[in-house]
Amino acid sequence: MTFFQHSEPRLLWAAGQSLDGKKGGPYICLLAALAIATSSPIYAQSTVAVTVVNMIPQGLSGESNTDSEPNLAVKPSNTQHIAASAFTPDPMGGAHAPIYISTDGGRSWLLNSIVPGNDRKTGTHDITLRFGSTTNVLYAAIQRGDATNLLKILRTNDFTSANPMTELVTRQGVDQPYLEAISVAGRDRVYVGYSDLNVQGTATVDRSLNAATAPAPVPIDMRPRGTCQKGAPSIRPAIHESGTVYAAFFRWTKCSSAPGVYHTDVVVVRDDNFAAAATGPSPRCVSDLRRRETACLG
Amino acid sequence: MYVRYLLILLGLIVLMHTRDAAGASFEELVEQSQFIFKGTVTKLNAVTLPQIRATASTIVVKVDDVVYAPSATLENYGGKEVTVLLDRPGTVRAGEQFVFFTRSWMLGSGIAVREVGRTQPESDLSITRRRVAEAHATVADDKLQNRLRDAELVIVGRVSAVRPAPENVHRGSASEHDPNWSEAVIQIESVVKGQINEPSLVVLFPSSRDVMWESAPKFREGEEGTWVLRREKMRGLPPTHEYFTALNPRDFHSKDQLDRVKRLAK
Repeated sequence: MTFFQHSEPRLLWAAGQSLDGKKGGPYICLLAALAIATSSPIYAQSTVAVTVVNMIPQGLSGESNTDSEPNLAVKPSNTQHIAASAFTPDPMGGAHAPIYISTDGGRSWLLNSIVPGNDRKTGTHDITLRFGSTTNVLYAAIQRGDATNLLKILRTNDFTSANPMTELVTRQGVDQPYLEAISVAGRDRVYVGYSDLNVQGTATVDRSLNAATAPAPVPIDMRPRGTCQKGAPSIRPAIHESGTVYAAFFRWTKCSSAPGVYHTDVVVVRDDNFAAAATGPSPRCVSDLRRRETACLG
Repeated sequence: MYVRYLLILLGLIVLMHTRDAAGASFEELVEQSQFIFKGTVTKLNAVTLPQIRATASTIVVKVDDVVYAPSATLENYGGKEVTVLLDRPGTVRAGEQFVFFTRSWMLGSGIAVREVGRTQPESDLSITRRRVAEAHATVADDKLQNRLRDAELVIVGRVSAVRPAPENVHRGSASEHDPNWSEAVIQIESVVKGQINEPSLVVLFPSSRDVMWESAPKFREGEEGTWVLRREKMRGLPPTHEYFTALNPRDFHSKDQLDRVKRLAK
């Protein structure tokens, strides 16, 4: 974590300027800041040795897409393999949106168009990527780019393959899907948090205990949802190989007539066995971080 | 007897010119392709990108002439080599020349494309280009025709005012995907499809530039054109609100497209 302690000046430069020194506009290139592993200390007085890599392929140099909301996944079993995503459309305007892939630790990047539902301006809508920690399977949770609030949970056994990602789950009325994955005893546990707009934005997690081969994760309702007739978006799961699974979200507790003003609790729910038995609305523990209260079932 | 053989021969020639070996029609090939070029196979079991593994399905093709490209970068790809992932491995030899119909695969220091199909090159490539352009026009017309068929109302008019939607509609779903609904008041000049007795109507449109609404048409005061309208159940709208919407990019057309819209709306 100390790596970024003194890195701000360099990183600000990276975000504000293009590689040739010109000022960047609102649509800047995606940049990856990479630490080059050496035997010498990372620090050099007040600056940090970082390599800035322009992830946009040379053939697209000068593109001006809305490459926003980037997400990055490093394969735990081979850290040379990295997958990334952004709101980047397929350069040829095809039916599949691209992900960024690197097989050399981030030094060079390719666009691989394997995500179903390309929008010609934005690629996908919300998208996150994660690898299974030992299986090499890449998972993605997306909102399709050619639809509104349509969730797809996807996987591919080879993220460099030309084959489109396999669709595992389809749900209409989903906002902000966010995926985490971990391999335990050779099985991929995959958790996708999202706001279910069909039931007033209820915080929900789809989970699979064997996602590499099993057909589809199942949804777990993470109530309570609050009292404003609708829940807030952004549900973020976290997994530990011991079996402890958390999901953090916030719920609106007091409705307001003023636009954009919400009273919220920040809530963390926990299950201690991969949420394996949580087939209904009963996560075992609920913590309200703002009130510093935790309640556990059973 | 000779007449029968002649007819069979003619039929085969026609088929060779309209379908590739996999059986797709020329229009189907064009619809599924994004990059079409005449090229010469230079290497088998080879690739142009170091990150891709060469297999029996990958070949290197030199682009001799670009027939259709989706961007300026690819329009200028003549003389360069690309990796082609064959639809049917083992069906080409080095030195052979084809018109390749391809779709996107990888883009990095070079490009790799997936083969949709291939045909023998015509002696005059301008004929191929014309056929591709005609196929694209047909595909675009088919898609617009589908939108027109499902539309409740198609009107020609002018935007007289743009304003925020009422507060209970405007606030939407309270996320970064909030559509930020606005209303466009359209003064109706003529009706292409459907019935309306009022001189104007209100179209609801998202003024948000969020990724969810980026492709939806946005309207401004004074804008003229043709609207392809439907009433869609919008999430977050009170059930009493029935708005016309034009959310698909094919739902608004400038005035110079009016004859085309009228033709396809019949």
